[in-house]
Amino acid sequence: MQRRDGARRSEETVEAGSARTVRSAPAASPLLLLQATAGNRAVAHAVQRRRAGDERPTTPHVRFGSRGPEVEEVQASLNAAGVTPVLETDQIFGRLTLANVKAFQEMSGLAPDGVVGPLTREALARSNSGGAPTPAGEGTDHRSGTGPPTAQQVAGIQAHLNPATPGGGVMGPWDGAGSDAQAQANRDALAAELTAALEAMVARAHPRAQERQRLRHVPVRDFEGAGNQAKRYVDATYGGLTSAAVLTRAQRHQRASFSFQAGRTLLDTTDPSQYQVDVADTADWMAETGKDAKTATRAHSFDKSRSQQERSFLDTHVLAPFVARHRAQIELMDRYLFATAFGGRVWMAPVIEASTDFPDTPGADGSPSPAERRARWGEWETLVHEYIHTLEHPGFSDATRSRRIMTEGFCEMFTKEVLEQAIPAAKADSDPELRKGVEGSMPDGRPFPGFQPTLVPDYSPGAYAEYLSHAEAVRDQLGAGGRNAVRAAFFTGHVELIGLTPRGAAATPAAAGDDELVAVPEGIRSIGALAVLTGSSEETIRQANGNLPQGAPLPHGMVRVPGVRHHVVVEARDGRERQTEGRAEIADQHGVTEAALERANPGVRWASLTAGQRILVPVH
Amino acid sequence: MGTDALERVVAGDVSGLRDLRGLPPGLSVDSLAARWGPPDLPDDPDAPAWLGDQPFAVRRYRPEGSPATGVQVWHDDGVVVALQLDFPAFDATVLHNALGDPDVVTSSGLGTTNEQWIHATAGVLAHVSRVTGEVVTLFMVAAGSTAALAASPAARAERRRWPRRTGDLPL
Repeated sequence: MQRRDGARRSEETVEAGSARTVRSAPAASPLLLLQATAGNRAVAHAVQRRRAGDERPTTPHVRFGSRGPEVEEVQASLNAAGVTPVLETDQIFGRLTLANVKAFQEMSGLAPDGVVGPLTREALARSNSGGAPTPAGEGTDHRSGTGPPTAQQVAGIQAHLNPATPGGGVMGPWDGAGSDAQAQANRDALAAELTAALEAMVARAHPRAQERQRLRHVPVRDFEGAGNQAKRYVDATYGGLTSAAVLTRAQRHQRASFSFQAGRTLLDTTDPSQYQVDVADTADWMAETGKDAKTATRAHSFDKSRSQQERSFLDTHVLAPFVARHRAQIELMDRYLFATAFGGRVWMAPVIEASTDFPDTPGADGSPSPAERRARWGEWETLVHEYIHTLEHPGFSDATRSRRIMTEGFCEMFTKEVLEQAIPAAKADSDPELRKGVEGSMPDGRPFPGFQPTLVPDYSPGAYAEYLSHAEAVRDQLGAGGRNAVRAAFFTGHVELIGLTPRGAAATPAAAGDDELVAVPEGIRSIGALAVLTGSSEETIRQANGNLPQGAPLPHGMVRVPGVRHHVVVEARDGRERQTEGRAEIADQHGVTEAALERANPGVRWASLTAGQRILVPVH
Repeated sequence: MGTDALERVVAGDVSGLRDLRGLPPGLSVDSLAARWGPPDLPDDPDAPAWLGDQPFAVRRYRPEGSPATGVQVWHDDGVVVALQLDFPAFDATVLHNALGDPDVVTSSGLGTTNEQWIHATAGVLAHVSRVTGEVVTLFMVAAGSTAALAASPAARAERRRWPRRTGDLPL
């Protein structure tokens, strides 16, 4: 009796928090199509409508006293399932229908509460189709192959995320940390080596900045098209996943309305009214990223982010005297060699560099000079990276702890994925929209003549090659599911898939196969019913649990169901609002129907999921 | 509250810092517009700007002929939440002489070599370079408790830097 009441509660809970039984559309392409045809605002409205739709119940529960076509459908299904006595399909849920529903529920291993909800419907459908389960899969499974990392994987990931810390397993303590003479000598040596590295970098880079300063400047507006083509290619690659991410309303609005617009979201580092330089920050970046500087810090096991002592040493004994000597040079480098993001805006230096191969001579037909065309293609590649930064999920940001391997290495890893597809397409000139967007077009709308594949620079990670290699090593630690795991972490905030807690610490590892252990929900009484719920088969479950004989009772406690996985609910926050993932987002990420999710998780209150809650994703 | 002091600081006169007492509660963009006229860069409802994790509209006032000074007004539906004062970097001792020791020094999201000085009663959040000893960015918000200012959106402003990707930075 207790069990029966529990099951009834489950059905009603599902009803109270119910939503659509079948998802509205495959994840990405309709939104991208809508964006292309009707613009970002239309996409934003569609998303809002869809989110509003999450709260609408659709498939009604049917119970004693119900009337209507839904009742007729149930009566017909009961008859087709062979439950007797045969019912008249009169659309009235009376005592005979109630008795048959209960009898069918008993037969199916469900609690006989007489309420026809998603579990009973599924069992009826399965019975009517000769035992074949209703397909759970729909759309792209963005989480295929993923799962909680094992201890070995967590350790490997930590080593790549923290290559300079003892926890990362690579370096020992700073050799200049003590107060003895040797430590002092080590500090002096490090200061000298770092300073020499920085001086050498200025000697190499400042002439480059001066050169760029002398180049022809063009309005930053000329690069809007390159930026928006970058956005188009990134959205085409990751739109299905980013649209399945939970975001606050403000975050969602910003994404939906974002485009590269000169003077607003795309700004000019060379214009003092648009960009303030920060020489110390630039020098710090050089000390962290420069090749020789990295060699020096590694040789001394030095990590500026590890302790106040190390940070203070770098600031006082290296950067302060260096900046004092080279302030003007560093200012120029900041303006001409860097792009910067702040507060939802991107800054770049819009200059045109000529060469023998790409002279700065405009075409007679009004086309931009080869130098300018080459510059626009180069910025198209840069802005792929910069636009991907805007798609970093706030849950991922919370976990980065300012580690550039996460902020820049991951971003570059996805930049590479996009550009390795897009650059060949650009060089082959197989996408007229791309070329016109980047280079501009003739007054009649035709693309400019004279395109050469060499106008499009080859892919290079540039200064971020090392961060990229660590990010790719994190991905590769996770085996076949690694690509989906790093994508899910970056774009949807699921950092647990790369072995991190929401605050970025190393997570407690999972034992292999743990993700397939299912807690039997209240109201489920047989292996057959559990098979319906999980999308598995009775035989598979029996085999995975010690080759149970046919007709064996459902084991108590946890049951292994091969092929299921668990989804850990994440949230997005801003200063005003928290949004937790809902059924639609979870379904979209895993490529399952909402109905299948609902069926697999009886008793879950979908309208009020909490961060960290585990949701069972059925086999699909 | 020192509206005059604010005007002086906005005009680039850092001596006005000593008289700052924070933004008046409920200060509206309309009242600033009445005082300063139309901004040179108005709000863009389709491109909210972010302070930390919170979106706002932002408009910019820039004195004519002075490209590196001025004020950016961060507001929430017309209510000003922060003024970002733009100016050439200046020695932080000027700020210290005007306002004394900061109530608390926290980390800065605007570069790892910066720290953030919070002067709660003056409503000032100053990002100070540990390397050059200069104030590089200064926000003015409503005066309040140190904890309230430390938790305010302006205190969580962030900037990221990355080099051009086309080999322009020889490392």
